[in-house]
This record gives sequence, structure tokens and C-alpha cells, in this order.
Amino acid sequence: MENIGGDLPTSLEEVESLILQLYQPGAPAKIAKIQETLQKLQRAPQGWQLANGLMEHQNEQVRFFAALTFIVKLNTDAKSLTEGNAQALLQTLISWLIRCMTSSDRALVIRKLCSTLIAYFVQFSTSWSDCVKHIMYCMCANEALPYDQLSAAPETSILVQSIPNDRAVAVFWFATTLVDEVGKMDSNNMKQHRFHQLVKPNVEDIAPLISRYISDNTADIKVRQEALKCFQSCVSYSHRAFVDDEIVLEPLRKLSKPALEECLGNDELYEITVEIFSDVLANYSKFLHDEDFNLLRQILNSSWAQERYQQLVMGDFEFDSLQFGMFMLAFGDATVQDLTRNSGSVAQSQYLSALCGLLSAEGYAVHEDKIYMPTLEFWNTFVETMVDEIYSVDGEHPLWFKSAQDHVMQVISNCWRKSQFPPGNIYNSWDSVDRTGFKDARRDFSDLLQQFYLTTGISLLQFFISSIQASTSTKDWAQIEASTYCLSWFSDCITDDEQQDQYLDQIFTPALVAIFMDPNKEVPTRAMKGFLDLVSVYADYFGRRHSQLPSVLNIVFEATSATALAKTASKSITKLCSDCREVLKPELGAFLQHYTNIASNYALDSAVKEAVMEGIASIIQALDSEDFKLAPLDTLFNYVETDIERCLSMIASSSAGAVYVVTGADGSRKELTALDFGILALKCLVSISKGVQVPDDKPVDLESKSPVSPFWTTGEGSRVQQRIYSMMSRIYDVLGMSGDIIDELCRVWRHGFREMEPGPFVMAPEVSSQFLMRATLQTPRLVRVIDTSCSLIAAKKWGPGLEQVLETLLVWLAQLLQALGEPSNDPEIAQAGIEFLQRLTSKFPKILLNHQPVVSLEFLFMFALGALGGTDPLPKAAAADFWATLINITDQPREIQSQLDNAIQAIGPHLAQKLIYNIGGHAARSELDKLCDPLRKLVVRQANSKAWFEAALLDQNFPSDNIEVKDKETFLQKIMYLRGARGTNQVVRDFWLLCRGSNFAYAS
Amino acid sequence: MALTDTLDDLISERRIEPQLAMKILANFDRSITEVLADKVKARLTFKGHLDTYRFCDEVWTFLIKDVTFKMENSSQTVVADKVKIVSCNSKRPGDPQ
Repeated sequence: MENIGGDLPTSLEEVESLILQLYQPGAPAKIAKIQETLQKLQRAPQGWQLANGLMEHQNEQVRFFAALTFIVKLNTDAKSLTEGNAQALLQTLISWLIRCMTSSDRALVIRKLCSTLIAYFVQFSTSWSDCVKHIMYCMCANEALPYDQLSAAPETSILVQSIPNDRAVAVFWFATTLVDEVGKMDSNNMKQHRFHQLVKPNVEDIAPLISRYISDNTADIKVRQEALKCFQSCVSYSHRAFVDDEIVLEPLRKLSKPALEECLGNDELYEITVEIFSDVLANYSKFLHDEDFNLLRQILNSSWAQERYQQLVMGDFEFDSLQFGMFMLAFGDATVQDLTRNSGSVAQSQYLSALCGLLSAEGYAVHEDKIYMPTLEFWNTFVETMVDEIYSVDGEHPLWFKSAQDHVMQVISNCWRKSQFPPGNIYNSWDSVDRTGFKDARRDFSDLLQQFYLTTGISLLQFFISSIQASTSTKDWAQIEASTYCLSWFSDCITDDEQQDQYLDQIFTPALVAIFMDPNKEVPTRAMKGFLDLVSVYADYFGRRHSQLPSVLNIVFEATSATALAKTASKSITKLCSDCREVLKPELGAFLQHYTNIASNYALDSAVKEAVMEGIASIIQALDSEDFKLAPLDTLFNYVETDIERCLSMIASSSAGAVYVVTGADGSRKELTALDFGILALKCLVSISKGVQVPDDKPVDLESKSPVSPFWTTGEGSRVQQRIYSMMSRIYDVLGMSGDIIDELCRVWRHGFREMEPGPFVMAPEVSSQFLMRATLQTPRLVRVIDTSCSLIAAKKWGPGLEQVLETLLVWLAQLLQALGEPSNDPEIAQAGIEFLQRLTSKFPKILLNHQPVVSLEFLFMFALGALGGTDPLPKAAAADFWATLINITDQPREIQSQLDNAIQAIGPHLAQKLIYNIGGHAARSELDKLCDPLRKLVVRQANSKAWFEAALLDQNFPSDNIEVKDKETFLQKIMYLRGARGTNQVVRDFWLLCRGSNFAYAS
Repeated sequence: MALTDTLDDLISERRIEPQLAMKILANFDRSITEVLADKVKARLTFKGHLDTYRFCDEVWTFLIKDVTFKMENSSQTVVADKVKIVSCNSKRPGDPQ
């Protein structure tokens, strides 16, 4: 063993001993050492002899290693063999194969030798083109005959008849390995060597042998199984070959018929056969002839198939039973167009009914019923095909439409049943995968419904209306839930339909609403959730038909007290208040009163308070006069202020960590800190700011000349704005070091910025900027503050007064960035800062160029240059945008333009240097397109750009040694010649690759 | 692009050979399509104004403006000024249509 540590083994016995140790359990380090030694031996020039010598060994593992050694030598050293040597090697390998078969070796070595022969074929394919027939010939002769004697061999058909069973297995293994391995080769190699053309005659040679075994039902079953596996590999190969070279292997196609007739019905061959044809039908149906399809139809109609079908729908989801279902679906997929267009014909209709029946197999979907999801997938395809067919012809629906529609209606009925939740105790006993799967199945069904709606229109709702009406009377909650779930998916579809209210009248009947008002609280949570969701998506209906609105609001508010329903109910409240704001105006007082009832209930989910606040605010928004809004808004702010006071008093009166303990109606205990109160108050403020926004769908008069009302900014409403500012300010003063607080404050500001009309949250830009500028480098989530101030740049409603605000904001930002120092110190802040500069430059370049003092402006430019030359991708991308924007500015008044041009003249050489440094290999591949933007702009706009780029290319800091000066010159010529055209990007990519070296060419 | 950047980094650090990177890239598109189809069940919906659409050489292109994306199980929305959708047939020639 001393050899392992240093020299290589000197005798065959030593090597054999090492191989045996390699395959025994042992210390990893020792095994690795042995492997290293053996690999050295395999790669050594004497590797051929070593492999041959090891083949003689009695031990199977040693012989396996010998075959492996042959493979290593063939892959690494085949070129060293002369033509004679290669032929001798082939004979050696075949003789070993025959010897192994004669000595009844296990499959391990024989299969490895088959792989070895394929490795040989890959290297010497032209001199061993008829490899399958040669192997067959040798197997029949039971000796390794030279390849040049193949011309004297009998016809393939004669060889096929005379080959013994055990030898046939080896031929199948060889042929299977051949097509598998060649199929795995990458397409470039494939094209280069035209492997498909070389493999084609070999597949034609193996086809008769496969045919013999699949047709002969008296032959050994094991050999027949191998024949089918070989057939499967050949078909799969044929598919790949077809895609690349359009080769269809006709002799293989002829095997489909006997395989279907003789093997599918045989229990021992069923599994492999059904797998082959399911695969072919799903992925490569072109492989099958029309007669094959006819035969498949007959088989699927046979008593054999019906028996299997019955087993499946009765709940047998064992592997082979499920395979049959997949086979049926694969046939359906392959013939979906025929099934759609002929859905009225007897045969097609029967088949569609059978496929529909698969949706009503025994058991709960996904947890038990494993065929449900694949079947639903098929029906989704079927409906898609229907839609495609209908929309591809003008005029009336085609004749088949009615029958296809009837089938889909039956599918919907089955799926509706399957979508009903099981009783809670059963559902809760499932694992999370099955629970998620069940919900996914419901979503897939909703896809089908929405797709099918395109063919039927609103009448599709009638099915669910009937179902919900029937189940309302019986209080079948699972059915009611499934119906409300399905109906909720049509909300987007029916909005433009004139009849929508007539249909919704039939859904929101007094009977349905009454059962959810249930004083005995016997409505299951899931059913209530379904109803709340339904109310939410059709909230606008209650704005048009008010009769049910009070009852529905009562249900929704009642539901907020249940923990499991609080969030859903909150969403419904917001939607109802928002969509029915005009109708609810007279009820504003009642809503405010309701809030009084819940305001001090801190055990309640905070989402409820936020939702009610938002809902009330949206009703306030609808009030006819701004004056009318003041009092209710004040009432809302009183509640917010109460929480703020509580927050402040907790901070003022106690040490850090004081908590306020609340106990819920269900006995649950909740501890609230000052921060929690602060966040709650701000969240409510955010909700109010959202609620009082003018709805998006209100028309905007672009030509209106009427002056903007000063009511909220300087009029009577200004005290409301001051109050809001004061609340935000007080919270910021004490909790400004909390990221969550900063987030909520920014949300309030953003809602105000977004508004086009004056309002309580639409404060003057000086006010908002003053607030935002309180942030320093130590402020958490500073990025959010900078982004919020960025939003001000885009707000057009402020007119010229905004410029002064932006000047001040720029000073603040410059100070922040100076405090930051390098972009890499905090790439997120750097990115946000540069994005601010980019936006400002695109809208108000004057503000940037007039920024004082000059040294600060220089710092900003240097900061953006630093980001461009750095390694952080996001600041770099932002900097590329900034520079591209700055260079591209051309239409400014003369004084500004001249300032800009001077600035670019000064910065140009530095900018060119950073760009070339990146393009010369420093940048990541994905950054190149972004970097091309400023480069292209420089080429187009700056006459000196060529000199700047030239200097940068010849700079001693250029990052690559892989290129010559002439490559740099060519690159420069090309980009200058392209004058900023899109082709520049490709030239830049090529240059980057040249600089990086050939190791990076793998993706080009 | 993130994948190629990572592979580039690994090659630069001599942690993998370019041949392996090539294999990874060759398998990525197929595998990611399979995984997205089989394993990912999350959904999102979006609404916007369809600005331009075309169907050329078996490729559909849609340009949508003012798009709002809504994620499943989340009240959060994401907005985009412009979205371009380029889609082609997932089935290869010879496969059933």
C-alpha cells in the first residue's frame, strides 16, 4: 500500500487490490487517494494494456473498472490509435462482450461494455457505421468477427431470426445505449459529425429485432421487455433527430401497431407499453400513423379498457391504474382538435364523456383522487381549443359548438362537486401539500370557468345561481361555499354586460343574505369567508341596488369580531364603502358611531380599524362640499390622536419596554408597546389618506382653467393639514429611529403626492419637503425617504413653485451623499441618490447645473462617476442612466446649455475612462447594455469623444492584457463608425468578450 | 442574465470550467420552464391598456401600458409604465397543436 502515497503500482495484482479497495467502504481521504492513483493509471499510455489485463480478472468489479478504463482511454487517447489498432480494439471489446455473456456475467459489466462500444462508435463512427448489424452478426456467430467481414454476413432479417434470446438482450442494450448516448450529445457536435445520418441505418437494423420480440407473444418475457425498452429509446431518439434534421425513422413507426396489439394487453408488458404510447401521444404524436390512431380508438373502446376505466373511477389510484388514466388523457390531448370539431359524433362524444367521467372518480381531489388534476388540465386545453376555433371563424358559432358546450357544462358540474371542501376534521388531517394542492385544483377550475365564459357569456352564471339557490334552502354550506367561490371569479368578466344586475339579483337574494345573518352563529368560517369575498368583488352592485346593502353591511361588520374572518371582512368593508360611497353618505354618522365602538378595542386585528377608517374616509370624500368634510375628518383624527397620545405617554412615563396588555373576547392575550401604538396610528392615517383620494375613474378636465381651490392649503381646511402634519411630526420626533415608522410616514406623503385634486393630505411641497429633509444618514430606511422625495419631481400640479423646493431638496441630498462618502459604503442609498439626480436632470437640468456651491456639484458628478466605476450593479445602472440623460440634454436656453457643455467637456475624459474600464472586462456581462447608453450618447453628441475613448483605451489601467493595440483601434473605429446606432451594443459585447478571453465565450 | 453573471464570476475565480457553464446554460431554459410549469403554483394577474400587439413568425408580442400587477395572497400591487410580453409556442414542430 506504500505505493498509494507516492509511486504508482507496479503489478497488475496491486492495481486489482486497489480497485477492490475503491469499491469497499473506507475513509473518504483514503478512497480519494486510491481514486487519484487509479485515474493516473487510466490516463497513462499503458492504460490500454491495463484495461485488457484487468478484463481477465474473475471479480466483476475489476472487470467493470476495466471497461471504464477502456472508456477513459477512448475519450482521451483515441487519436493515438492507428486504423489497424482501432479495428483490433473493436474486436477485443466485442470478444470481451461475448465472453462476459458466455460466463453469465451480471448486467453490470455487460452494460458497461456496451457503453464502451458506444464510446468507440463516437470516436470511430465512420469506420464502424453498421455497428448494430456487426454486433448482431458477432452474436449469431458467437465470436468477434472483423468488421470487414460484415459484407459476407447474411441479410439482417436472417440474423434476426437466428439470434439466441440471451444474445438478443445484449444487442438491445447496445442499441439502446447507442441512441441514448448519441441523443445526449450537444447539437453542435451532432451537426459537425452528422451523427443522425450514421445512426439512422443502425436504428433500421434494430427495428426487425424489436419487431420479432414484440410480435411474438411466445417469446421470453424478459427479452420482450428489453425489446420494448429499446423501442422506447429509439422513438425518443427519433423525436430529437426529427427536430434537428427532420429525420423520421419509418421502420420504427411500423412497430407501433404490433406493440399496441401484442403488448398493451399483456400484464407483464403493460407498464412499459403504456408509458411509451402516453409519451408519444403527449409529445410526438406525429410519429403515429392514422391507422395507429384508429387502433388506439378501438383499444380505448375495448372491454379491456372499460374494465381499467371502471377501476380508476372507482378509486383505484395505484400506479398502473393511474397510468391508464394518463394514457387516456394523452390520447385526448393528441386528438383534441378532432374531439372538439366532432364533439357531436358518437365516437368522439363517447370519448369526451369518458374523459368527463374521470372528473368524478371516487375520493377527494389531490388527497385521494390523483387523476383529477391531469384531467382538469386536459379540459382546460379543450376549452382553449374551443375558444381558438370559435374566434378563428367569423359569424355564428360552428355546428359542433353546442355539443362541445354540453360536455363542458358537465365538466363544470363535476368540478364544482370536486371543489367542495371536505368537513373540517378531514381537511385538517391532510398534510400541507395536499391542502395546497386542493386549493390549486380550485384555482385551476377557476381558470377553466373564465376561459369558458368567453364562449358562453353571462349565461354561464346560471348554473351557479341554480346551485346556490338549491343549496341555500338545504343550508349545504360546502355547496354554498363552492358556488360563491366560483361566482367570485366572474367579477371582471361581467362588468360590461348589461344583464349583470339581473344575474346578481338572483345571487344576492334575501334568502341567501338571511342565512349569513344567522343569529345562532352556525355559519362555518369557510362559508362565511366565501360570502365576504363574493361581497367584496361585487361591491359596486350594492351601490346600484341598495336594498340588501344594510343587511350585508351588518354581516360584514359582525364578521370583523371573528379572528379568522377579520382580514377578509375588513377588505369587504373598504370595498363596500368605496364603491357605495354616494349611497352611504347619509349613514356617515352611523359609521363613525361604529368606529367609536371599536376604537378602544385593541384586541381587534389592526386591519379592521384600518379598513373601517379607509371606508369612512371614502364616504367623507363623496360629501358634496369641502366644508362638510371637516367635522367627520376631525372625528377620525381624534381617534388617531388618542392612539398617538397613548404612544407618547407610554414613552414619557415609563422606561423602555413598557407594554399595554389587552385580552381578546376569546381570552387571547396581546401585549402592545409604544411602537405598536405609533405604527397603528400611522397606519390609520395612511388608510384615511387612501380613502379620501378622489376615485381613479372620475373624469379629469384637462382644459379646465378654474384656479385650484386654496381651501385645504390656506383656507379653512388648512388647520386639518396642520393637524395631520403635527401628528406625523410628533410620532417622528419620538420614534423616528424605527424603520416601520419611516415606512408609514412615507406612505402618507406618497398618497398626497399622487392626488390630482386638492385635499387634506395634499400639502404644499415646501411642507412635505421640510418634513422629508429631517432625515439624516442615520435615519433607518433612508432609501424610502429619498424615493419619496423623488416622487415630488414628477408632480406637475405645483407649478413653478416646485423648483425652489427641489433646489432645497438637492442641497439636502448632496449633504447626505457627502456624508456617505463612497457609493460602495451603502449601495442602496447611492442608487436612490443617483436616481434622484437622474430624474431631476431629465425634468429640471437647470436646478442641477445651478447647484451651489460649485464644489458640491463637482462632488455629485464625482459620486456618479464613482458609482459607474464601482462594482455594485444597481448604483452602476443608475449612474449609467444619469450620464446618458445628462449628455442627451440639448434644448436648454443658451446659458444653461453652455454651462452643461462646459461641464461635459470637463467630465468627458473621466466618463470615457470609466466606461472603457467597464467595457474592457470589468463590468458584468449583464451590465453591458446599460453601459452602452451613455457610450452611444457620447459618440453622437460629443466631437471629442473619439479622443477621450482613445486615451481611455490606451490608459495603463485598462483591465485586460488579452488584447492588442490593434484590437482597441478596431473597436474604436467600429463604435465611431456606428454613430450611436444599436449595433454598438453588439460591438461592445464582442470587445468585452475579447478582453475577458475565450473562457467567457460559452454564452455567446 | 443573473445566471451568466454568476457563471462568469465562478469562471473568473477558477471555481468552474467554461464547459460546465455551457452545460448549465444549455439545461437552464428547459429546466426552468419545467420547474415553473410543475412546481410553481403562485399566480399574479395584471391589468393595463393594450397599446400594440402583433403576431409575426409565430411570435406574439404585446405592449401594455400603465400596468398594475396583483399578486395572489397579497394586497400589494406593483405598477409599471410599460410591459412588453413576447410569447411563442412552447411545443416544438411535430408536436400536437
